[in-house]
Amino acid sequence: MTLVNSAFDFAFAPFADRPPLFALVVFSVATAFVLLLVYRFASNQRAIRRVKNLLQAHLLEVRLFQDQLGVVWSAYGKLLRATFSYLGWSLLPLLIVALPITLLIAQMELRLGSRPLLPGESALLVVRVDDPAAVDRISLQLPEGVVETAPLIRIPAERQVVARLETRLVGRSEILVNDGAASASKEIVTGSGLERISAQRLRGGWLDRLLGPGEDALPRSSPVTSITLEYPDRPIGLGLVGVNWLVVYFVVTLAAAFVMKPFIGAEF
Amino acid sequence: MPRNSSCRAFGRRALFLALACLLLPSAAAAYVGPGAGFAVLSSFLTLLLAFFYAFLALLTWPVRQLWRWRRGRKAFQKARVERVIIVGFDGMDPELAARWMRQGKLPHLARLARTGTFRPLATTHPPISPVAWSTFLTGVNPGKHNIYDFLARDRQTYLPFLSSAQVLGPRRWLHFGRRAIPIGRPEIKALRKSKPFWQYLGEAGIFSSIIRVPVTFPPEPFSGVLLSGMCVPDLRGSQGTFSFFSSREGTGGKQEGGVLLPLVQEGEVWRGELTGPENPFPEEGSRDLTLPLRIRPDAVRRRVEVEIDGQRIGLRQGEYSDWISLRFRAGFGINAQGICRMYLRSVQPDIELYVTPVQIDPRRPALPISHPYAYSIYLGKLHGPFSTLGLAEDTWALNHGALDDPAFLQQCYQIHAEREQMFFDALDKTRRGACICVFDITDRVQHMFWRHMEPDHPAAPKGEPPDSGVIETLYQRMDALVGRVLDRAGPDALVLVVSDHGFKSFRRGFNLNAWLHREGYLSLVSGSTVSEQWFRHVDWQRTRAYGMGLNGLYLNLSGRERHGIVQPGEEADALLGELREKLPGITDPDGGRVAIREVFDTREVYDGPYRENAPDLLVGYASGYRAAWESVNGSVQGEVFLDNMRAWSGDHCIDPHEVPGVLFANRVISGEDHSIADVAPTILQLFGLPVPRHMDGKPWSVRMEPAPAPSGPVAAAAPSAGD
Repeated sequence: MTLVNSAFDFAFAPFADRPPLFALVVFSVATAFVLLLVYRFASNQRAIRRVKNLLQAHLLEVRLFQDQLGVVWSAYGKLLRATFSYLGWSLLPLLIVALPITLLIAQMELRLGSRPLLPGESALLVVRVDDPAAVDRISLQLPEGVVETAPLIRIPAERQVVARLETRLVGRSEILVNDGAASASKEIVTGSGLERISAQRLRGGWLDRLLGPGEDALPRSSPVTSITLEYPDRPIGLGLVGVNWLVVYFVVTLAAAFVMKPFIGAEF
Repeated sequence: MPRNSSCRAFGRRALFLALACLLLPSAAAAYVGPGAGFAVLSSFLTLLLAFFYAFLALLTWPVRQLWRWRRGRKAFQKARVERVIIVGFDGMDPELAARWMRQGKLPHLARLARTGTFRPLATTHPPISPVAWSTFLTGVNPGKHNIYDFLARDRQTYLPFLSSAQVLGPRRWLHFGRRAIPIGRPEIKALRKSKPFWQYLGEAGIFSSIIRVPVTFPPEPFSGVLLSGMCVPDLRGSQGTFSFFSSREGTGGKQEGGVLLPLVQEGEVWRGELTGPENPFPEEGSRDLTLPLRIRPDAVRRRVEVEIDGQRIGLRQGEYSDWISLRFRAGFGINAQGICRMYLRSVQPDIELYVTPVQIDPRRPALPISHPYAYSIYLGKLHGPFSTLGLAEDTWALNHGALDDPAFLQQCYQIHAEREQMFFDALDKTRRGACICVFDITDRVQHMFWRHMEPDHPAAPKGEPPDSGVIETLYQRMDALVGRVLDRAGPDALVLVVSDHGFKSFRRGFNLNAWLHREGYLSLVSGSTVSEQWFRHVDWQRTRAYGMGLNGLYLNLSGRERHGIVQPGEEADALLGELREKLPGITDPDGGRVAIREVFDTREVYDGPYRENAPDLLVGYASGYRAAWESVNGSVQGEVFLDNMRAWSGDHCIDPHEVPGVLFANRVISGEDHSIADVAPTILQLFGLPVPRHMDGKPWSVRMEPAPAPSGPVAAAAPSAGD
C-alpha cells in the first residue's frame, strides 16, 4: 500500500498548490479516457450498440403507439428485457475497471475528501476499542505542536474515547495511543495544500485496508479497532455551492466520456 | 502445472475482488465509479424515460378518450371491420398469377382465389406506378391528384421536374464574405393533391400504419405512422445516383442514374472519391461534398479492403457489404448523414466496385421521410439501417452494366427482406385499423428479367443460358409472404392483395418525338438533324406537338407553353383529332404488328381541377411496345421503331386495358369492373365512414362473413391467362 500511496503522491504532486477542482477535473478526464478504452476493447461493442438501439426503439415505440395500450405495455416488457441485456453486456468492462477504479477513488478520497487542519483549528479524535474495560486504559501521547483542549471523555457504553485536539504547527506528525500494553500511532496533518489525509486508521481486514489505504492497519492483537481524526470536509466550490468531490468526479467523468466517445469510437 | 494453477488462483481472486467491489453494498454506496455509472445511468435514464412515458400515457389516456368523444370521433362505431391489411405488389400481373396458380405454384394466392376473390383490377391512364398508387390512396382520377407520370414539364422551359415533390433549398442564407450558411431546413413541397384515405380514417380516430406506399413523400401528418416510399430522394437529391469505381483506364463520366469514377493507383492502394450531396456553401464553388475512398486489393483471395470515413470494410468478390454509415462534412458543424452499400464486382484484371446511391439515413434523416418524424428513427433503431430511397432497387445500375443480373437480384431481395421486416412489425402494432405496405420488388424484377422469359427478346441474355424461372420464383416468394400475412391476420381481418398494374414485354420502342419530327409536328433549329435530351435543339416557334415522359403527348399551346404556337380551340382540337387519327394502328415495319392501340384524349379520361397540367394525349401502346428510351427524355433522334436492347425488358406503360393489376381478397367481393380507384372508398365504407363525394371510385360490395372453401379448381376463379 505504501507503494501505491507513493505513486499517487507523485501523481498528485503537480497539483499540490492548485485548487482541488483542477486536480479533480484532470483525474476525471483521465479516468474517462481509460474507461472508454476499456469499453472499446474489452466489451462487445456491436452487442452494446445493438441493445442501445433497441432501448431507443422501444422508447420511441411507447411514444409512437401511445394510443394502443397493448403495444405500450409490450414495449415496456421489451424495454426491461433490453435494459437487463444492456447491463449484462456492460458487466465485463465493469469487472475489469472495478478494482482499479476502487483503488483510484480511495486514493482520491484521501486527498479530496477532507482538508488538513489549519494551525489553531481543533478536531475530535475518536479511539474505538473491543473491550469496554480497555476504555479506562487508553492514554494519548501528543507530538509537539498538538495540544488537548479538553480532558479525555471515556464512554465505556460505546467503547470509545474522545479527545479534542488543537494543532499549532504546520506539518505531518503522529499521535501515540496507548492501551496500557502497547501503543499505536495516528497521523495528524496540519496545513493548507492538497495533502494526503488519512482520517481513520483501522484494524480491519483487506477490504478495510483497500478502502482506507492512508495508513497501515492496526495490529490484530491491539484492543483498539479504529482511531479516527475528524478532519473538516473539503467541499468542491462551484460558484455559490460546495459539493462532495465524488459528485463532481462522477459528472465530469461522464461528460468527458460523452465528449471523447466519438473520437475513441467506444459505445457505452 | 503449478504455474497454471497459481494463474487460475490469481484470476479467481481478481474476479472475486472485482465482483466484491461491484457488489458489496458499502463499497457500492460509497464509490459509484463512473464505469458503473455509464451502465447504470444509461439504464436508469431509459427506465425513467419509459416510466415517464407510461405515466404520461396512462394519465392522459382518459383525457384523450374524452377529447375524441367530444370531437365526435366514434371510431369503429359503424365499422364492419376491425382491421384491414393491404399488401401491395407493384406490378403483379393477373395473367402470370393465374397461370402459376393453375400450375399449383402459388398455393396461398390460390386459396384466396378459391375462398375469397381474385380479379383483374383496372388501372389508371396511364398505367404508371406514381399515377396508379396516387389514385389508390386518394380514390380519385389523376385530374384530381395531379400526378400524370414520374415527370411533369415546366411550361416555361419545357424542362422536366419530379411530379410528386419538390425539394427547395433553405429560404434564407447568412453570408460571411465568400461563404454563405443556410438558415433553416430545406423546404419540401408536395405536388400530389387530394387527401389519402388514411387521413379520413385518422380524423375518425382510426389508426393506420402505412409502409412505403408510393407518392407519400413528403410525409403528411395524420393519425398513424407512415414511412414514405417511391419519390424519396437520395442524399444528392436525385432519384438514385449510383457510383461505379473502376481501375480500368479511361473510366469516368456520367450515366443515366449513375456516375463512373476512376480509381488512381498509389503503390498498393487505389484511391477514389465518393460523391455525396451538394456543398451547402455555394460560394465555395459548386463542387459536391466528397469522401475519399481507399481500396487495398488482394487479388489472390479475391477480396479488397475499402477504407472510407474512418471505417474499414472487407469485401469478397460478388459480395455486398452491410449498410455503411457515412458523414459528409460541409464545415461549420454541418454534416449530411447517409448510408450506402458496396458491391465488389471484380478484383482482377480491374477493380470494379459498385456503390449504391447514398441514401438518407433513417436513424438521422436529413429530410423527413416518415410521419411522425421519429418513425423512421424507430424503424432504423429496431431493425438496423434500411434502404430509404424511393426507387431503391438500382435498375439503372443493371441497365448500364454496373451490376450483373445476380447482383441486382440479390439487392432486390435484400431490400425486400427489410421491407418485410418493417411490414410485419407494423402488422403487430396495428391491431385495429389499417395496415398497408407496398412491395416494389415485383415491379423491378419483372422490368429487368422479362427478357429471361422470352428467348427471342432483343435483350435476351447472349451467350449464357437464360434464367427463365426468376419471375416465377419471385411470384412464389410473394405467395409465401401472403401466406405469412394470412397466418398473422387472423380470421376477422380483411386482407386485400392489390397491384397497381400488370406487366407485358417491352421488345420494341416507339420513338414518338422522331415520329413527330418525321411527320412535321416537331421541328429542329436550322442546321440540326437531331436534338439532344430535353429538346435542346427543338425550334419551338415551329413545333406543334412534343412527347415527354412515358405516355404523354403535349400540344405546344399558345398561352400555355412559353413559345406555344397552336391556338387553343378549333386549331388545337383539329390537331388533337389529327394525331388521334394518325397514331393508332401505326404498324411496326419489322413484323407488321400494330404498335399503338389507342390514343386517349385526357379531356375524356380526366376530370378535376388539375386536368390542365396533364398531357393533352396519352399514347396507349400495344403489348410488346413502349415509348423508346430516346423519346422519353425529350431527345429527337434515331429511327421511329427501335429494338429495346436494355435489361429493362418488361414494361407496363402501354394501353391500360392491356395491363390491369390484381385484386385478391380473403372475402368475397361481388360486382364487376373493379378499379384501383375503388380501394379508398371501399376502405372508408368498411370502417363505417362516409365516402367523400369527390372520390371517383365506388365502394365494393364485400361479404365480411368468411365463405366456405369451395372444392373447385383455381382456374374457375381466375381470369383467362395468356399462356
